[in-house]
Amino acid sequence: MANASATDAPSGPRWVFIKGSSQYRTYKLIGIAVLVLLLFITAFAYNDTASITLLDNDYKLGLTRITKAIAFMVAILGLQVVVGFTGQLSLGQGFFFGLGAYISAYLVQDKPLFGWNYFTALLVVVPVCFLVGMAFGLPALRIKGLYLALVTLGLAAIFPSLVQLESVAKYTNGAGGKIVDYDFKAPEWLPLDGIANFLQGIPLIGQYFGDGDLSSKEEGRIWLFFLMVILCWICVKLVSNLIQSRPGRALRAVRDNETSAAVSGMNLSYHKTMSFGVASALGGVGGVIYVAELGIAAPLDFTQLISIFFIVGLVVGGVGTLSGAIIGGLVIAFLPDWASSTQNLPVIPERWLQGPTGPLVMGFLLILLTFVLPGGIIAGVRRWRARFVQVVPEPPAKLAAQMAALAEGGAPAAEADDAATSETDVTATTVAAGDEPSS
Amino acid sequence: MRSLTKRSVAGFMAAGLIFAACGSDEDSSEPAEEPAEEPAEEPAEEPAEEPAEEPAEEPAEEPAEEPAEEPAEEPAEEDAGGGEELPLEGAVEVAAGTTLNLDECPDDWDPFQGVDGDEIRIGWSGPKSGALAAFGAIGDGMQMYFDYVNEIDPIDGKNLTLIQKDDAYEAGRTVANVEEMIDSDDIFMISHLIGTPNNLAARPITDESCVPQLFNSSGFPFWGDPANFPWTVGNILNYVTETEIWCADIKANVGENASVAGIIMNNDFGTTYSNTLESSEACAGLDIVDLQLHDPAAPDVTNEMTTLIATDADVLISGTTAAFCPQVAATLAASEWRPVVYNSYTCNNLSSFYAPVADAITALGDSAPRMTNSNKICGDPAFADDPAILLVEEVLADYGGVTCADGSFSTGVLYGQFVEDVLRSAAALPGGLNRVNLMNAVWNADTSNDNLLGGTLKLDGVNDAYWTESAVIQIVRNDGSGNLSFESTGELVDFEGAGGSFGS
Amino acid sequence: MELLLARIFDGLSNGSTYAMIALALVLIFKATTLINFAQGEFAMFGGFIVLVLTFEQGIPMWISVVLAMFLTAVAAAGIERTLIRPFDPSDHLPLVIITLGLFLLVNAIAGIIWRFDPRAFPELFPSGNVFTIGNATLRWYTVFTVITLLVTVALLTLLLNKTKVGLAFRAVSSNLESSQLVGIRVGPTLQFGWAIAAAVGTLGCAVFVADPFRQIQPNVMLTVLIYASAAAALGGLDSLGGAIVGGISIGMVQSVVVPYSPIPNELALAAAVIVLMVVLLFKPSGLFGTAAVERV
Repeated sequence: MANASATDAPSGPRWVFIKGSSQYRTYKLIGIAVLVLLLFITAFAYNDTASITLLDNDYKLGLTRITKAIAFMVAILGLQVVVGFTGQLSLGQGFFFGLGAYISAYLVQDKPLFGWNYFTALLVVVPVCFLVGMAFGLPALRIKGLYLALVTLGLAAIFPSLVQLESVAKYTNGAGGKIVDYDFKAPEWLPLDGIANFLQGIPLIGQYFGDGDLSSKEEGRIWLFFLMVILCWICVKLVSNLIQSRPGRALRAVRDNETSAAVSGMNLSYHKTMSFGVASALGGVGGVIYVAELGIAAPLDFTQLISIFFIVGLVVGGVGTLSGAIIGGLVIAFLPDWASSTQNLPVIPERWLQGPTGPLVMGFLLILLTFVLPGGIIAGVRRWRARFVQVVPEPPAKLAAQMAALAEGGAPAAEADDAATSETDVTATTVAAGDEPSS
Repeated sequence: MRSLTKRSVAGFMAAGLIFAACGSDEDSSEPAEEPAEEPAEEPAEEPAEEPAEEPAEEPAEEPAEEPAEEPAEEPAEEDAGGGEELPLEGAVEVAAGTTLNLDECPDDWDPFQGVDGDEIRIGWSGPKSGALAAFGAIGDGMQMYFDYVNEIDPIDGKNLTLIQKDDAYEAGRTVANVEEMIDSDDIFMISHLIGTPNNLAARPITDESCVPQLFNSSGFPFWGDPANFPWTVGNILNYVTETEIWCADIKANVGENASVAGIIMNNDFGTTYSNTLESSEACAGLDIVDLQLHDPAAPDVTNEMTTLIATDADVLISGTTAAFCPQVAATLAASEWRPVVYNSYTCNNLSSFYAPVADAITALGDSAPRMTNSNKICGDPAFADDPAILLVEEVLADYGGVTCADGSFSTGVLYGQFVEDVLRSAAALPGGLNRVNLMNAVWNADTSNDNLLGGTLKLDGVNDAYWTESAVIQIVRNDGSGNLSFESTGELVDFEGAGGSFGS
Repeated sequence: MELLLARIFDGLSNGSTYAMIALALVLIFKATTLINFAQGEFAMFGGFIVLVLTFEQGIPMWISVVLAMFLTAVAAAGIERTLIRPFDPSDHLPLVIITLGLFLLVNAIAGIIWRFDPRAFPELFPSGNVFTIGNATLRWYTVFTVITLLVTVALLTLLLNKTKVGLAFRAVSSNLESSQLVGIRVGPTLQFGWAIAAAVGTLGCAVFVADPFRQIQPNVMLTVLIYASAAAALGGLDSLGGAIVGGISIGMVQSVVVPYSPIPNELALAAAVIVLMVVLLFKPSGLFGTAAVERV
């Protein structure tokens, strides 16, 4: 996604940052600060579910569902690795999401051997999902494209039946679902009450931050939210490092043209199975977050439908981008609920808004979104942002010296534009307010 | 991938540090986790009509009694008897062995929340989309009945308002819905949540928030556990009891060691039947030759039926529901096998499920499905003039523009009536409509509903924690011109009071 | 022995339905190299149109079927023109989202109009049995379902091989760019493909629910689609004959193989997926599909 708009608009974007310059660093810092601020506001404002009313419809925004969205984000991140960056169409991410959920539910609830919590459970979930994912990757060596998609879809569809098998029912509680009794208590030293009171004191908007001190349940929720944000951020960092590293470039080579990659000497099997492994491990982590927040792992939460929703989130967010995973997670967590909360639309008779309104509105919106933003929401955001900000890679030393000299002489930023036109997607790093590098 | 490994390790160490810093507790006061599964399905019960009120009298409170177990304090106050307003703080004993620990409720807990204005706000979450969307009609049916009540005889002068949310039967969505309803929809109570995992996941939330969670639509027996979860009340005839009624009937009419084959839906609903068959004492001695589990989303069950037909067993248990009810009947009719057939009572919406296979019913004769029904079925000609059924039809027609045959709306009406019943009782108590009085009203309920075939709806704290406990075994008959009706094969079986509470 | 026979008959009956829906999927795939996730829902909607025409309008049932096939064909052609054509055919992902959106939308619309309770469907085929051996009955329904399947394939083959539009379709599915260069109007040809696929799907659903053992309701095609996709992949996504073989095979696996294997019945779908995977491992493009040749 080149910032081609820079060359369209006669005056160019308002700000041009050269990577590595101090202005760029400031820009990035501002971005991080905004993000952290946003996270705090989200945690404290939506802890007590907020209600947005549009056209007589009541839309809820609550921290529980936001944390659920984080779980989805991590799962979609995994899909970015295997679908976005390696080009293998896997419709089976729901399988690993469910697998991670059930493993962590079992460990935290039944506590075999010693007292597990969700984070120590990750030590089991990640390797197990990685290995099982690699096993899934083995058929991918032979089976390609849509055929692979259908096989993975089939595997995702059988997950509920697998966890209800009599042989594993004593671990999974079969059809009733596995409830986990675990309270997240925020540590004493965290000044959550203090922050809440501070935010409530802000004139004009303080009312949105609730009233008075936080109850222990609310504190627990906020604490869990931040823990999961950190976990998600770790995953994002890991994936972005992966993408920008040598193995990451190998994966992209596989995506772009397998045959060329193979004849260039890459070990296709290794890379494909590794990418499935990483994707599945991330799916499992997502499942752990899901159970940590919602407290239950139930079979019918993990049918092929959730695998399909992950793909929807992937594409709607933006394939091959990390921030797309974030957006995608939010979309698939909130859209079904908001769609079914739409019970009054001006023109539509009420009869049409009874029953399965959720899928009705969601299907319609998906189609609309594909027309309006075919590259995903991130593509739209980037196009919009490119009108204001452009980041330019560091020019080579000689050119930099020339530019510095000219800058002293008061020349316009024409050279910077020249440098811009030669940039490619891979090297340009556009900084989202979320500080996620992408390719 | 070396850098990946290093970074992964670093990441986990970081996570570990974070984890170490947090002092998460584990709350392990979990009541027994159920061995048997519960079906969470909503049966399409057709309630008969019911004239709006039922006698609402709540027996007086028990005299001071040791509550079953109290984690925290001593009961600060006891209820000394009827006529006195129940306290709204401290530990309040509302029924035998049933104590509400109000001091452990959240700081902003308000016993009048949801009824302090001119509305009574009730929350509901169920599958309005997805594979089990047929049961979403229950929410709409409840809404229709509430509209009727509001127009004819509002409770306490307030408007009954139902907040419906779609969870597509996913427990995760139910959790989010329930949290949001409690946080921001200002609800007084939650009623008739559908699904076992869904109710299971919601229960800790309602328990912690001190919000009544009434009439869980899930046949799991462990909703009757007032000692541990005083805010949660079960509803429908639980499937364990239903199976035991079948077994008793089989042993009496077919044989002590009759051979039994079963087709079971592979989810929380169906596996309760199979587990009870295999492990309950009431069913011991029966020869279970084959239990075929089928995928709840399967297109049809012909394969399973072919296998079962080949067993030629004496009895067929059909622990499945919805679209599979008629399929089982039709496949059976086409074969030569004529066992005694027991269907889950969730199949008892005759006009919805069996009208398409009326001919099969005729062909089956005495092998037509038998069901343990608790209530009158809308559409059954035997009740065509029954005032309770007529009311249901009127409510459906006037407030929804539908008929009983259009779906599970009549079940929603029956559920709405249960809710109305306990609300009126609570409103009549000293202190009026508040959450404490509501739980008092529910746990001491002694009422009946004209949609029922008989028996009472009675709760008595830990002594009798199950709402619906009586049923009649009825067989489906075709009168020759395609009109289906139920014919009783025996007397009302009344387990009233025998259920005790879960774990007792 | 008769149990085996009974199971074979079940497999034939289910398999024929999977084959018909698989045919529709293959048609779309041949034209666009896409899987149409909404195919099952289009078929279901068509089935409901048959229901409405027959029971509410009193039209004789087979005429309703033909009419419904025509109507869904027109609707699908419209959908192709408005929703699919604007996109670059080689970029699959937006189209995947469109078909998923349609899947949700069409299912929801059917659920809102007709609600979710099962309804009786006209019996398209004579009832009764051809013969009975013990508990194994071969129903006329099964026989006619297979006949319908074979007739459909025959007609499709004729259509594709002997007509001008069929020729254009085959050209487009073989090589899009070359077809454009020789002057074939690709848009209308693809539209034709979608229309035929929808008609075949409607017929498949109608035949499926015409079974006296089954009833129609909006979720009826949810799981059928998965089995049908497995069937299409098994036979080769671009092979019509392969769809038949795949469909019958999957049906047989479900009805005949599973009961005699250690796989429990509730994992019947797992058996189908395993079979699919094993076949694809040996023949990555399905039994009769053409292997994709990649140019570097």
